[in-house]
Amino acid sequence: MDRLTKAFPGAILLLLAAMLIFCGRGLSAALSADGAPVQSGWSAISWPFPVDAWPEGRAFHCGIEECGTEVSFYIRPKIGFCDCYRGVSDDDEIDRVGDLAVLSERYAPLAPGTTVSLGNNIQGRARHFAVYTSNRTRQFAIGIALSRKCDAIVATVVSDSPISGRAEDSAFRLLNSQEIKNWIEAIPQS
Amino acid sequence: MRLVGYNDLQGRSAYQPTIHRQGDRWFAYIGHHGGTDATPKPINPLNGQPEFNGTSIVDVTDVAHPRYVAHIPGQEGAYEQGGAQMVRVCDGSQLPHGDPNAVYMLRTFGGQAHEIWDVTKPAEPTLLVRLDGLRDTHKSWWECDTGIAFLVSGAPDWRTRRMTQVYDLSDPVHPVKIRDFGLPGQEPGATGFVPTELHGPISTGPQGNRVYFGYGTNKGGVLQIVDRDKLLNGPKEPTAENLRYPVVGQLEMLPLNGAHTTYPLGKMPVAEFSKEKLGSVRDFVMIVDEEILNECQEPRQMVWFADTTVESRPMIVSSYTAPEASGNFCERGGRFGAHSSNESMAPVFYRKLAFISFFNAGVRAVDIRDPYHPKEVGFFIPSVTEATDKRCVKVDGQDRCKVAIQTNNVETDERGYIYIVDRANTGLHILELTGAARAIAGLPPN
Repeated sequence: MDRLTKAFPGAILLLLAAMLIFCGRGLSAALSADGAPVQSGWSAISWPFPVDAWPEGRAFHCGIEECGTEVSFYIRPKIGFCDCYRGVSDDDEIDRVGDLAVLSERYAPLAPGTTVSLGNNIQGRARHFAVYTSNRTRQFAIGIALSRKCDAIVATVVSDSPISGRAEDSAFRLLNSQEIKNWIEAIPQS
Repeated sequence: MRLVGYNDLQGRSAYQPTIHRQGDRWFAYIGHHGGTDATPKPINPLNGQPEFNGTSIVDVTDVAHPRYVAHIPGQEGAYEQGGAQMVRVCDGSQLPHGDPNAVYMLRTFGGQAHEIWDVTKPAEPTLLVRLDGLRDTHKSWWECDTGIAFLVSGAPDWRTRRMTQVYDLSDPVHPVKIRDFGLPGQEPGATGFVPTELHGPISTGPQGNRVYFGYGTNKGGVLQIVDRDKLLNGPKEPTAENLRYPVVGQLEMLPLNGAHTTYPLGKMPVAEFSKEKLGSVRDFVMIVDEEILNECQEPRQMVWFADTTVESRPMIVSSYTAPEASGNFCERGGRFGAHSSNESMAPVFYRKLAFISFFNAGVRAVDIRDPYHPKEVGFFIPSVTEATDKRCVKVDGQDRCKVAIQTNNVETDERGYIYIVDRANTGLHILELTGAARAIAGLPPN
């Protein structure tokens, strides 16, 4: 069972299944209607980080009302940076290809990672981290690293507070939204 | 530059060529990437069998008529997921404990292993040793006079896909591991940020006592200058402190560029500085980045010259790129930008001319006699053939493909020939210089 499936509480899964049957529409379409916000509760924001080795990606923010805590979501490609043979197959690989360094070079895992998949071709892992910033404050983050052949797609969920199950579920629904999938599909490949 | 010979390399995507003299004959050993989705196992006409891309051995004694003598299959997998892209060759007579009558080939086997083959009879290669269990491999270096090998590996317990495993291969049949090496933070047990992965080293051997490591392929480039003796004989436990111990200097490049090849030029007099009482002779390293995306979808990857006279404070002093507008290369399809340089230090070209593979801009001959002012003096762009593979980009979510030359790697031999190989399956082109460029090398007019 992958991370996305585990993240959904059973009642929500049943509700979504009923919606799918009733509406005859795919999950992602139900979550990302034309012209609507990418994902309920999430607003697109400017990429907040200074220029580094990798191209800018997309950034989103979710407030307390919708996610239970202030939480941000960042995603971008790292083309040619993935293990062509194994993809993101273990937690060390999250450290290596993930994007936590945009927050700080000092971070430590809080728990073992879990598998994540976006369809059959894009798979990887996610893991909770504590991130220690230069002003000695601690942030909480989920590092997500996905592989598509030799390319990595990396996402970071970050909050000043511990990331609640509600916020985490919402972040993974955003990751799995059709808009993000379309955006990933358009990314150049090595 | 002028074409003198050609071989199609059985339509296989090619990476590293290594040219080696064996007796009175010359052979090109050419490592391959994996096959394509359409043709994962091209036919080897020598035996009629479909074979995963591996290593080609071509007799180039007569450069006008290269003769394909053997293909050694590599790891299953397409593109960078298979093949056997890297290859080096040493004579047993030069290796301290080799069979003096033998010739040995060190190659990668995809990302899984390093292999040593007996290629004394190039048409009948025999596997001797396999160093297995790796996560990845890449552009290794082998000192033929000492047998010390700097193997680009993915040790399973390290935090990076590619680091260095130093081996004593002076007796190729009995490899002896010396140590693991990498940037601090890559070692087992470290936490937090993982520094950029290794691409490849070049050693100057015990005489020069330096190993130049290039980290980062097209991003976050690092040139690391390492004391070879301290690396081989210093404390070997992979701690951050021990990894720093042999490091003499380090240059962190602009994060938009990588370090694919770090080619030491050594000490060179700079004519413009000839009247200076200090600093008229400088030490240089040429750094070549690798472009990895098609049709200019990333920052230009090119060539940088680092003045390493003061090794603890290396500094980039000049650069070279093939001019895009000269061929509208961003629109031609495939990659445009630098990939690699020749690595031979044979006198014919060393410190005079460098040859840079530039993907769809072919190979570029650069006058490097004054590294503060490198200057292009020649180029050659092969023609596409029926075997040339397409290269695609996404446009509105759909693949838009073009067929273009992708000159991938380049090497030279002591005779003054230049060998370029194509990533898009076009084969091997053997070139020679003409005109003023030829005169720079001191070669007789052709």
